[in-house]
Amino acid sequence: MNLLIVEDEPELSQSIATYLFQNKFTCDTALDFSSANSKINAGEYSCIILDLSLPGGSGLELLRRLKKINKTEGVLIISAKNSLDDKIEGLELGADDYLTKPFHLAELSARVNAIIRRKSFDGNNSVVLDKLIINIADKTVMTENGVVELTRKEYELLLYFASNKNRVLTKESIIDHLWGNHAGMCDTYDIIYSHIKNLRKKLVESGCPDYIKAVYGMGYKLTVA
Amino acid sequence: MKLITKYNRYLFPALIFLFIISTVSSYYFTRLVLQNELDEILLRSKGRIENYVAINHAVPVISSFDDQKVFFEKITGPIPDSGFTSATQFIPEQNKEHLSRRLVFPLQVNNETYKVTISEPLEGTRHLTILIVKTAIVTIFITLLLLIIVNRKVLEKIWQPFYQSLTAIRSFHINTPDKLELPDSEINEFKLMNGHFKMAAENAVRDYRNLKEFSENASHEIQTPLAIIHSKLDLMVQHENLSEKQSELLRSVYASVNKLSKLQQSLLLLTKIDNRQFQNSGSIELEQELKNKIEQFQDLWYNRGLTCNIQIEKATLHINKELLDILLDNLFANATRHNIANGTIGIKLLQGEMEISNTGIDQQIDPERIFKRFYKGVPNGGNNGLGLSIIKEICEVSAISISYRHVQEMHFFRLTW
Repeated sequence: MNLLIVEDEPELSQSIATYLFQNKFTCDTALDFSSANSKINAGEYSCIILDLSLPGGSGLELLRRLKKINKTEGVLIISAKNSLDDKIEGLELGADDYLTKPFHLAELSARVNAIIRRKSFDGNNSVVLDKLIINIADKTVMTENGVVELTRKEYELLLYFASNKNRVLTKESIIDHLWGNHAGMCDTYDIIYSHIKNLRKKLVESGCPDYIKAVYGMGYKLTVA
Repeated sequence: MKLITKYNRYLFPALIFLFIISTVSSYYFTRLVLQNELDEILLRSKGRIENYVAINHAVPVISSFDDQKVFFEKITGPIPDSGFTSATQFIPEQNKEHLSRRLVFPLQVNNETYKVTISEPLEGTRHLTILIVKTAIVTIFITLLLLIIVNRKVLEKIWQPFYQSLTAIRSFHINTPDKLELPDSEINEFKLMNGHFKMAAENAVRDYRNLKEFSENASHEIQTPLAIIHSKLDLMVQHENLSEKQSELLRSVYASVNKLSKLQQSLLLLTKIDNRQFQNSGSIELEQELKNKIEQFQDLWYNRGLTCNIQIEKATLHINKELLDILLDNLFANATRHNIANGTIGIKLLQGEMEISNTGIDQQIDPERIFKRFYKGVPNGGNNGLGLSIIKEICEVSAISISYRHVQEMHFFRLTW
């Protein structure tokens, strides 16, 4: 899968590329408006990660051009502005999602995965994770032994892990993913613990290996071959 | 006390004092002048009598048709003092004692000495003085009355621009785009005042804008390096062979950076609400939103052993949907965070009113300061002290009034609209 990262801050761009590369994406980067423009015209990407404030032009302008030349790439806006107008305008111009800086790379990965899944036309609405088959459309999880009954939060958690397999997910990023940014519940680690415990138990009971491991107080990691 | 009242308090006693002085003195002066006039008349009569005696060498026979009385009295002793005196005199026609002015002088007629007494009643003078005093008193009252009316009507009219300016100043807010509009006035003092008001307001607005711009820019500038640190840490935690010590350090750095990001986002959110960047408010069926939010928090509460008392009726609220979501998030998070083990959370929704309550420690929290930014009633590591400011700010822009009270260990946040 080929991604384009349009971000003027080289350090951030590099971090994103490194993380997503580890998640089996190949990444192209563009640091300014004109190089982004030419790369969009030349190549085919599964998803474009787009910063709105760029040297030489606005990310919104790039969106307009994309629409004009009928490109159907998925677009994820990452912006420092967090201004609602930008968000609304961006989404109206055909962007698929919007993420405010600073963000967890795991969250970015999950959003990119979700966009790519939505954009794929081959009807492939499921994610295969070793013995697990996660059906995105009806939000169910199957193993060879049948359906695994998960609560909504457990399902979201599993999908988050699936988008970041073999990566350490920090507790903070899990909380933000499951409960959103605004709650400010950064002191509610205990609840993650119980959710993960339940998820592990259910997966093991349905005949899967114990995929999820705690990582030295940092967070959790789902390991599959 | 109004300025006019204060002014009148000085003016009226001064005026009354002045009137009393002028009335008393005009009474005495008039009396003096009239008495002098009478004395002149008496002297003229004296002259006429002396002329008559000089020509006729006899005492004149006086027929008294007017009030002037002349008496001749032959005396043999020493010559009496001549001069003016005031005395009462009996007027037989009116059967009354009257004050009169009297001139006594000696007269030599054919080697005989007479004591002549001419007296003229003071009656006319008295009437005149009384009239003058009466007129003066009436004038005082009319003048005072007029002054009161003039002060009431004219002064209040003149002061009108002043009060208009005050009203304009009171409704002027530094963070609204409206300029300070002050009424025009012909009066120099008011012009000066309005000029200074305008200048002060403009300075304040300019300073406020600069400060706001600065903090917004600072926030945005902080965001990029923060995003870089965040991303680098995200990469770092992926490393397989970190020692336990390194992991511990990393975990601590990560948690702090995360807190900083949250703080940053909260501050930006507050700025956005402040800037009225959340438009598009609409009428929202609150009970459904509330039920959804309760569902989101349900497992969190269950996990903490919190009991939930829910009483929900149909209610609508005019608000921006995104803000409502943030508002409920923060209210619930607040009620959860400050709760105690096995505590309760109460959620009550009626039309026009919502009350979120929670058990907590029985501690006096200042209801005045609780909504202030960074106010922390209780030391709590996971809390940046902005949640309630966000709640307050959202309520303010959405025309909701919020109040806080606590009864022993129960804390209530009540929203009405």
